[in-house]
This record gives sequence, structure tokens and C-alpha cells, in this order.
Amino acid sequence: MKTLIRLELKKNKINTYIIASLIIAITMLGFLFLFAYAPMLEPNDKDMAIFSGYNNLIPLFGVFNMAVFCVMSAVMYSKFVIEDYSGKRPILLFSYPVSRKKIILSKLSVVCVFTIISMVISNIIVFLTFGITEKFIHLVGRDFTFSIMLQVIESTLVMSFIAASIGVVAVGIGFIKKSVPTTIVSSVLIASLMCNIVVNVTLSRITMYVVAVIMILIGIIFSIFLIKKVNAMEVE
Amino acid sequence: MNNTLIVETKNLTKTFTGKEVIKCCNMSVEKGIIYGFLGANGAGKTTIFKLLSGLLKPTMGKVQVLGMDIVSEHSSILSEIGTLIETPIFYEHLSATENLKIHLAYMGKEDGDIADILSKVGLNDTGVQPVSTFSLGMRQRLAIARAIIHKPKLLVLDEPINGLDPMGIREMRDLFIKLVKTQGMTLLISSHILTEIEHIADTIGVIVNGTIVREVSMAKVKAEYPSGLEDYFMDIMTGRKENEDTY
Repeated sequence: MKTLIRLELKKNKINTYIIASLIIAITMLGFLFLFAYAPMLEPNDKDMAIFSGYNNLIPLFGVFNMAVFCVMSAVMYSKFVIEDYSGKRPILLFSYPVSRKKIILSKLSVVCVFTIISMVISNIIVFLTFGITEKFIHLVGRDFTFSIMLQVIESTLVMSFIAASIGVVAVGIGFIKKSVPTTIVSSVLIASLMCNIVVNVTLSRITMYVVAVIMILIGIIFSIFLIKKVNAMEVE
Repeated sequence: MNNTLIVETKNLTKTFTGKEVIKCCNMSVEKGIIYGFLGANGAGKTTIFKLLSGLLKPTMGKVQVLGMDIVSEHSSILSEIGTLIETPIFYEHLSATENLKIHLAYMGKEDGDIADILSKVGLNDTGVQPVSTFSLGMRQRLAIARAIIHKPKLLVLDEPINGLDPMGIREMRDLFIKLVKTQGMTLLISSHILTEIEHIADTIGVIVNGTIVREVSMAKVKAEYPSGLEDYFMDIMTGRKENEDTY
């Protein structure tokens, strides 16, 4: 399994996705400043209250970030899974004396782990930068304390798992037609749906975990579906 | 089960959405020979090759490769055969050497001499050039290199000389004969170019509409048809030899 994962990384240019994650992190940092600055534009507007204070800012920014990484993981899945199993390409994968289940599992785990790690690292970098600049320019009323950072890390971890699961679900849907556009569109749709759910439940910690666990379970079901599909595949 | 048979199919049938593509196919390939596989377009040559390499699952009947059942002992068969089926597929952004390295790693064999194999197929000076820049003939050469690098016992080659220049065809022909003579490989080759099969095959099999109608040694064909394989093939196709048993 370890060698299979290493081979997947060798076959696909992982650097592209690292650069993509960096670009996402920089863009996200811009958005975070924008969100934090928004209430100052019109101090009297009540609607702007959704941006004020860390309690609102962190979940709002979190789900936005989650949606972005969902789409990135869907793009990666399209490259790693959909493209490798469509057309004549599976001839190559199926002529190796390695079980098909292990190959698809290694592909899924590479993308899954990459999504989680890149999302967590990018979020930590974004909030650390934001926290440091907060010392000099006060956009949010309160100080950026260590406990806020812990809150950020916690919600990011949970959301990264949700993002990875949404990616698996999207690739499962895209796999039926072996279509890259279907994969990416379904990831956008599911992500926007999940954003609305997650942003409303982040205030209570337990419901947030429940939603995450449900999403992970759905992700596992879709992985099993994918493995079964690949095992029964014939190349005509 | 006969030990000297490398490939044996019994009443092999394959249907695609209700249509029988392969019908009651009986094929036997002995060890250490070059088996030329002939048939019109769409007769089922590639389908048979896909069934032998486990890319398709038989609807009915039995397939044994190297004495192992294709359905239950799929993995062990795959590590002992080398295949080139349809247009070869590579990792386009990687070089020839890297493609072969990945192939060996998946095959679980680390001892392949990549430089040696590449020089055998005439690709030794491609260096770090990615496969996406290769010409059709170079791809075909690389595909042959990939099929033989893990020292398989059986080589399944579907139209291996497609896109090769006359020099390349001769080089590959010599390579194939050498593999059989020195490494004891068994070759299963399909080709549209009858003279090519005539040059190298020891036994030929003819498939018509999904059924192998003839399996005969080349020596016998030459004795009966001094003018060559083409006349023999045309006779089978047009049905003149239908009632005669050549087994």
C-alpha cells in the first residue's frame, strides 16, 4: 500500500496542487481581511453584524474555505481517479498484478490526506498572519488570543474532514458517467449545500461533530461503491 | 491439463449486451512457440487478448493461462505475462525510463535492466524527453519494451508492428525470435500484415466471427500452399476450405 501511494505521487504532478493550495491561501487571506474590514465600511448597517467578532468571522471564513478546498479535491479526484479509469486508460492499471481495490484505495487516500493537510496548513498560515497583523491594525474589536487560535484549528480540522468526504461523494457521482465536469459540478453543489448547514451548526460544538461524522460515513459508503465499481469494471 | 500448453481456452464465450462476440472458442498455444493470430477486422482478436489478460471476464467457458485459471488466479497470471493491447498508454509527462521504472515497481520486480531493454528496442538516446513528444513508432517501441522488461513467460502482442518503419519491423522481428530462442518465452501475436506473421510464426490460428476455425502449424501451411499464407487465409475467409478439417 505504501509503495502504491508513492507511485501515485510519482505518476501525478503533486507540485501543481501544492502551488494551487498556496494561491488559495493567499486569496483566502485577502478575503479574511475583507470580511474583517466589512463592518467598518458601514458601522450602522445591522446586516454587517455577521462579520463582526471572531465568533462570526471564524465559521463564516471556515465554510468559505471549505467550499474552495472541496472544489480543489474534486479537481484532484478527477485527475487521479476519473481520468485513470475512463477510456482506454484502465488497460494500463488493470494489467498490473496488484489488486484493483488497493490501487483505488491508494488513490483515494492520497487525495483525501492531501486535502486535509493542505487545508489545515493553509488555514493556520492565514490565521497566524491575520493574528500578527491584528496586533498593529485593529480590524476586529478583540485581541487575537491563543484560545481563538485553538478554536480556529479545531473548526478547520473538522471542516477539512467534511471537505475530503464531499470530494469522495463528488467523485462517486462523477464516476457513474466517468465525467470530469460532473465531478466538479457536484462538488460545488454539495459544498454550497454543506456550507449552509455547517455555518449554522458551528455555534454548537456537538452538532458540528455530528454533521462531520455523518459526512465521513457517507464518504466511506461512496468509497465502497467506487471500489465495487472498479472491481467489476471491464475494458471494452 | 496438458503441461506444455501455455494458453488453453475451452468453449470460451463472451457477450456484450446480448451480442455474442466470442462464440465457443477453443484455443491452444504450446510453450515456446510464436502463435500468429489472424482474423478480419472485428472478428474478435483483441477481445480474445483482453480475455486472456483479464481485462474482460468470460461470460462462459474456461480460460487457463500458464496452467492457472484466469478468474481465480488473476494476479499471479498478470505478473507472468507481458501485454500490448490496443493503443499503448503511458504517463505522458514522464520519460521512457521513468515509465518503465513505474511499470517495474507495479510488477513488483526491481531487477529489470531498463537501459539494456531500451537499447534493444532502439530508444536508448531519448533521455529525459517526455513520452508526450514521442512519435507513433517510438511509442510502439516503448510499449514493446514495457511488455518484455519484467521477463514474462507469455507475451500477448496486439498489432505490435503498427506504426513501425521497415527497419523497426525487422528489428522487432529479430527481437521476438531471440526472446523465444534465448528466454523460452511464448509469443501470441496478431497482425494484419500476413507476410509478417509468415516470417515469424510457428503456428497460426484463424478467427472468424468469434470462433477459431483453424489452428495449424506454419510448416503444414507452407507445404500445402507454397505461394504463401495469403492464399491460405483468403481460402478460409471465402469459405473454400470450410468442410475440410485441418486440426
